[in-house]
Amino acid sequence: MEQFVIETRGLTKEFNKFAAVRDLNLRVPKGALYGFLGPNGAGKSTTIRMLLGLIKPSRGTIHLFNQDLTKHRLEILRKVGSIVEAPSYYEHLTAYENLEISRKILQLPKKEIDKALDIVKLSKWKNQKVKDFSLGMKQRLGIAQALMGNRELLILDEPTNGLDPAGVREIRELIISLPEIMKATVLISSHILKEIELIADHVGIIHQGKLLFQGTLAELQAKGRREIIIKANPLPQATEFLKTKGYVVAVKKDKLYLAGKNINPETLNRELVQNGFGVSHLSENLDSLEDIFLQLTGEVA
Amino acid sequence: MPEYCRLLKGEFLKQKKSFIWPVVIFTPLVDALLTFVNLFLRYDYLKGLEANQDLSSWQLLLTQHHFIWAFLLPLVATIITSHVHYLEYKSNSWKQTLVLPVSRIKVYLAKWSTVFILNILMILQNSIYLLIAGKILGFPEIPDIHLITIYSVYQILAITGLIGIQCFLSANLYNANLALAIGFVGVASSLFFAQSEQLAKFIPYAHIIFALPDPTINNTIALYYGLTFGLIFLAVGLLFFQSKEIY
Repeated sequence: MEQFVIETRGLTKEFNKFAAVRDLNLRVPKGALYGFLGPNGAGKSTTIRMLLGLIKPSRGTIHLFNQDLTKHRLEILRKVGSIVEAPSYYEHLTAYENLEISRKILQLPKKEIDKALDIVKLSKWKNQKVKDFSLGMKQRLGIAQALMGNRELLILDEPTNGLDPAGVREIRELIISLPEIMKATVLISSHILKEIELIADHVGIIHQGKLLFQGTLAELQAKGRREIIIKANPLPQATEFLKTKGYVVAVKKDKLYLAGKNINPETLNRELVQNGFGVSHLSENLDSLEDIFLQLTGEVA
Repeated sequence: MPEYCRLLKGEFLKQKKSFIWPVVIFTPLVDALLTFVNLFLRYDYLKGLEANQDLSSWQLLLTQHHFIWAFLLPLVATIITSHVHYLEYKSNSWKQTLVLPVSRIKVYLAKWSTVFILNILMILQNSIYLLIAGKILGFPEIPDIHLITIYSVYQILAITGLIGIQCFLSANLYNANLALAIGFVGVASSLFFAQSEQLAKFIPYAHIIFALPDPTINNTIALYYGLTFGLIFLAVGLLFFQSKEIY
């Protein structure tokens, strides 16, 4: 049986009468790099805040490490490192001093600070005030803070938000390396599909507070449409031939479009050629993740 | 080290290099200096006034000092309270603190204690400076340590109510400036409330006015009401902070 580090049931958060999160059943398997994907305002940050006990759910339950968050909050939070939205620091203090506050509270040995700063490559700037840091450096410091103390679960809310492309790549590479370095499960939220595609092995898609998909990246890709596009001669007879063979065929201009996930292009080509049709073009068109994402979110809209 | 102590230590680390330290150090010093100058220039005149004739030099020093201090201390206490909490709002750090495995009650208590300790530091420094001022002025009586100690204790108890209410406001209002504004209005209007003892009892901003050890002043307002309001608002603040939603 699959072990889930995060498991929510019917998680709902309402603000007045507006439901920011509705009946969310999130399941994050142990060891996964889980991408929590959704457009701005989809309910990602609200969900993350509930997972961390910052706000109370209106309904539903949250279990982390198979423990109820409301009953075992402190015990659970000991194993969780997080960044919630923009990084937050005491800007008048240095990077080291900021981490020192958390270290003192968490009762960790001093070397934890150097270890964390080393992982995020900030050791050189540890004595610089945070107010002089770039956004990328601040994000890395946020990750360092989340890493301190061998956390088993890292929850990173939009860690690449506002970064330039080089910064995004840097943070992405850092996050990808985390499960190996830390042996931790990582939940990363983003509204950027490409980010999640490059980082995650599991995906949850949230839109208007509802979880529309949850599974592996491969399972998500399998949800996409597949088309075989053929240019055959003579077209009307080829269309009829394929229909008699049981294919679903659509004609657009001078091409035939065959929808179906199990069509073998090689077999199809052979059938057409053996029956005297000239095949001048044969290609496969797969829905991109963006198409799948838009299909899923479009269903709700 | 217990969790509360670690949080308290963390609070003081956050205050490192903050403007609060010059405030805590210089406010009592400047206040004592003003008192010193006042008595240096007007000691004989003030001693000659009929109203002051029964007062010892040390009592006169405290009476003159209290005119400024009764407003300065609550004003600075309000600023300190707001600053200690504003640090969290300014850097949006409440969330970072509260995702740590710490009890919310202790987080709130650590903030409250930080404010309380800083105020005690100001009051005690001020008392020491007043003793030094009296010594330099060469009062004929021996230093009245007992009187100044009582005055310090009364101030500490009187300011508890204000700290309680300002901590409650600063921690629970999403706009930290609003708490500061309420505090300023409270302090500014405290003299009006102090004109009625009945009303002043229920206005924590006015309690400090009644902290001067003087037979004509009802010190119970500073002592009992200060402490009672302090504890009530500490409890109310804790209750609200427990369920505060952090966005």
